[in-house]
Amino acid sequence: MLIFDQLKRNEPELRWLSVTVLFGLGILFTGLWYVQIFSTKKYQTSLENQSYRSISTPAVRGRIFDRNGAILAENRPSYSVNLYIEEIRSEFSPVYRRLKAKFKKDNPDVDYDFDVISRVSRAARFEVIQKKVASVAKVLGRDIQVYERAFNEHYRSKTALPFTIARDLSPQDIARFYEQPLDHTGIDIDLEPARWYPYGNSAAHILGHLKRDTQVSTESKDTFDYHLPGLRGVVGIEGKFDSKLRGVAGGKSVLVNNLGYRVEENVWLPPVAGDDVHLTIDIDIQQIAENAIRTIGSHVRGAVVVLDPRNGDIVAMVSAPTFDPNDFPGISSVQYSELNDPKTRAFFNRASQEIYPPGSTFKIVTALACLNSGAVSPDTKYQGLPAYPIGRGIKCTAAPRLYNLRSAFAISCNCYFIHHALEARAANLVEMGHRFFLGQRSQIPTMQDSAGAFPSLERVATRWYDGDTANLSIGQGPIAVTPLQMATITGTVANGGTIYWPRLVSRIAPANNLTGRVPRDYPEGRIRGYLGVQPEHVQTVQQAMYDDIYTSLGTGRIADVDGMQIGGKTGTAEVKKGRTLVDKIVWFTSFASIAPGLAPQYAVTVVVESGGSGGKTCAPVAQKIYKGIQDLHRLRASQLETTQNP
Amino acid sequence: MSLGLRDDESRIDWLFIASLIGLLAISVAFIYSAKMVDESNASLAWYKQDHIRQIIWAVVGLSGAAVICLIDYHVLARFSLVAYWGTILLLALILLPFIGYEQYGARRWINLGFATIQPSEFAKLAFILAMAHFLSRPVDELRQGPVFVKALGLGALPFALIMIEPDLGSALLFIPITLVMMWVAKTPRIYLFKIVGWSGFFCALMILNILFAPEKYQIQLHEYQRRRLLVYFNQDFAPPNASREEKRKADQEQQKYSYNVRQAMISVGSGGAWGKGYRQGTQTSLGYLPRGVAHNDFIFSVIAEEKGFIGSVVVLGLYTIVLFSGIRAAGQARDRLGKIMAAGVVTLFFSQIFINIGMNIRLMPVTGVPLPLLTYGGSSVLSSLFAAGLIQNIHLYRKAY
Repeated sequence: MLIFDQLKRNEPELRWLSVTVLFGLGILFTGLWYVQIFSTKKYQTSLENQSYRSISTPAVRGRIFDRNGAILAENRPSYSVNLYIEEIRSEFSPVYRRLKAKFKKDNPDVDYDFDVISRVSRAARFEVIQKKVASVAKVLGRDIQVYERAFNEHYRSKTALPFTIARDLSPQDIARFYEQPLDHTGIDIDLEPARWYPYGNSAAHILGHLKRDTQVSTESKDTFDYHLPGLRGVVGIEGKFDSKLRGVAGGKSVLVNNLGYRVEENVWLPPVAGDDVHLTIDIDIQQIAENAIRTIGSHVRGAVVVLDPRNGDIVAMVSAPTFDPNDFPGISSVQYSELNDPKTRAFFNRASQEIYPPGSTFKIVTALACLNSGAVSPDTKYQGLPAYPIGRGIKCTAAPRLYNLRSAFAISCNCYFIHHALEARAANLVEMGHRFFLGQRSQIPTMQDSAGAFPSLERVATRWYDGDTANLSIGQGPIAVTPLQMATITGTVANGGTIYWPRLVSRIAPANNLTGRVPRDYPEGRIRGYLGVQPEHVQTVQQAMYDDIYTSLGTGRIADVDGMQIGGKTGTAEVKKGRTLVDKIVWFTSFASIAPGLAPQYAVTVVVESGGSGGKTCAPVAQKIYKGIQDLHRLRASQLETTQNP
Repeated sequence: MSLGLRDDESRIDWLFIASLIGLLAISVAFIYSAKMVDESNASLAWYKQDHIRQIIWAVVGLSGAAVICLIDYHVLARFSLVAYWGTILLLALILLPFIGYEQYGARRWINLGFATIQPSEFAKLAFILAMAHFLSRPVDELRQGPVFVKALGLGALPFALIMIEPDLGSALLFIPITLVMMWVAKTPRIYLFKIVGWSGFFCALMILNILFAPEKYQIQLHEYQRRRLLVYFNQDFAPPNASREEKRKADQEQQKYSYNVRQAMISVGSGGAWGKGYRQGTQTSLGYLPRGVAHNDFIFSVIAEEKGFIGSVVVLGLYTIVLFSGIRAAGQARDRLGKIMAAGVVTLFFSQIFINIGMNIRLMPVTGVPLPLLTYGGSSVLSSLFAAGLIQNIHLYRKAY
């Protein structure tokens, strides 16, 4: 053998040389074994870390439907102009060389060190980008702003991703882009999904809006290096059901070179489309209600809730003023701050998020408490006064005459209800409020849910005065409710005493069967509780509410719609800061059946800030809503007829 | 057989030659792999492409080696001083600005128009010839002090000239070659131990000085040399009393300087046992292993990445054959001249192999020492093949009486 022969040789010098060479080769062999076999994992990881970037790609967002299958939110293609940096990079170096020469000429004394190199190369890159942007801007005939900071940031952290310079191109823009002379190297039009709300600002508060999702969400522990700009729901259904709607992001990995430019792409996980959300909203009624409240004035601030008293379904929920979710993402800061003005608060859902003193509409609860405790019977009569003598006196707008329960209710006599509430005792009144779950959230899934304010029984037992009882009985003092809570109260009276959970979402279902996920149904008419009051007492209150519309005394007479049977209650609550009146909240809460004799199908609550009075401001709105509903029923019946008998 | 060889002993060492050709073939294949990832390179005319040029150099070199084999090494030795002083002249000439060709801050090349030659590559070979010739005198003479000093001077002259270029790596190669040749020539050991002792002491002192001494007491090395040593010993570039700004800059520099080693390690390590496959390596194609060095100083990384540990072992195996064929030639040489010469060539090969492969796995600091027969480059291939020719020559004429 070549090697061992040498070792046996009788010449010590050459033997030593052989041993040294063999030893050296042994060291190399061991070293290579150590690097290539023993610690190969470590180096493979370093290799992957430096040459692969994983990117999460957003899935198609689920749609949102109303109760009849009308699409309230869907996706539309949106075209944007992207710059592919890896295709442009060859243009960087000539510019860099020119700038370098210039720099050296201008600053002969300055050391051309690392900092200067990176500064000059940044400038060179941005110059090339600006040239590209200018050529695109010229072709599209519009101004395109690209900020150096934004580009540098993108270049630093997301070199492998295209850089978007213009979004939302019109078909004309696209035609111009392709037909006009333009060096297309590194410039391309890409499709990105955008959200589209066909009904514009209708039901905007329920639907919510989106924002561009640039940050990695903190709750999801994913390991992607980059996230393609997805969309994320902020509030409303879009916000609450964001995880359902957004589906499961896919993943792709991008092979990048030493400078971070993209070399190759590889999709290893296709995205799974998001689920569709079906709402209980009837978009036609929603629009009827929106138009109705807007008749007060274009700047009206208020809310409308339309419930189905038979099961608690929310048929419409309006908050005014509103906004157009199509403006998101990318709403201008001027527009945003205008809408978000502390008085306008257009993004605030007044129907479920704002709490108002209920005023006289609370007499529905007071009446039930008085009847239930036996403090009054339907025939109990009481002589009204100009003001009820408690504290500094509580004003009564009703003429000081003799009233029974129904007439006192219809004309909204404060004295009658204060007097009998005191007789019935505060605890009974508060306890009746608790039966309606006042002071507790309605749990509607839009992230816009207030609990309102309502005293506890403990409070009544300790720091409580007759004045408090008096105030509470007419919906003032330590009480505030959301319009949705008031609609629930009204609906409960209308259905005879069952309190349902308000339902907004009826079903969440995958867009197709391919996803393998199962649809989830939210059952109709989930019962929250029973009023536990004798039926005749509820009927008495129902009758009183009918009287409010159909008797000459009634404050809500304007709400009458021919052919329907409507019961209601008006209210006007004063908002005081100290002793001064700062605002008036006016109410009209009502229920109706589409034809006399049927069980009520709708509960409509209207509330307006800074209004005149419940009867004059809100009752006409309810009237328009009922009229619209009546017309809609007739229209749908006739459509049904034509489809059945062609 | 006119030369009196036994029938079972072929005159030509076919295993040795097969190993050389195997290494050359690997070289061409992996230069192709390393260079073809670059589109601008792939579009060059065929005769300008590095793998073709390497083939040409290999053919020229093999022919040269064949010619060398035809002439008895005793005859060659007679011209050794001519070759020696010729290369010394070239080494001196490249220091002149209008002849020397500067690249990467060092003046190591002479531009001939169609190619650049690197005289230091040939200087090593000429030195081995001259040194062998000088040391082949009777052993008794080697005991004389002046002879010993002259022998040292023979090595010190090219060492100094190459050091000035600067090319520390190539210069340092002269040390083991000189020592081994003197050792094999049976120079009194006491002399050698003294040299090794003293030079080892000064080396250690120098390294300690570079790594730890305050700036004004440091030996003046070229900045790049200092940095390479700092990288090798994993030391901070910034002096300990540096300001934050200086430290940040030094860190960036450090990143830059340790980059090649880091990437070479990743290439070698990620190759694993079997490698990623020929031309499947990502380190060069994606540009992590800089394309300027992948086909020359770091060719071993490319092989190790694409062919894995198996490929590395095959390369090591071929070198083992080459080295031990050389040692055998030394042992079988018919006189001291052949023995010393072969030992010198073996030491030259071995030092280069150890330093170059060692640098790929961070056993050694980064230097421009080529990997014999694998690294791209005419001068290196030619001088390596000529050196191999010498070994074959010594083998051929081992029994010519």
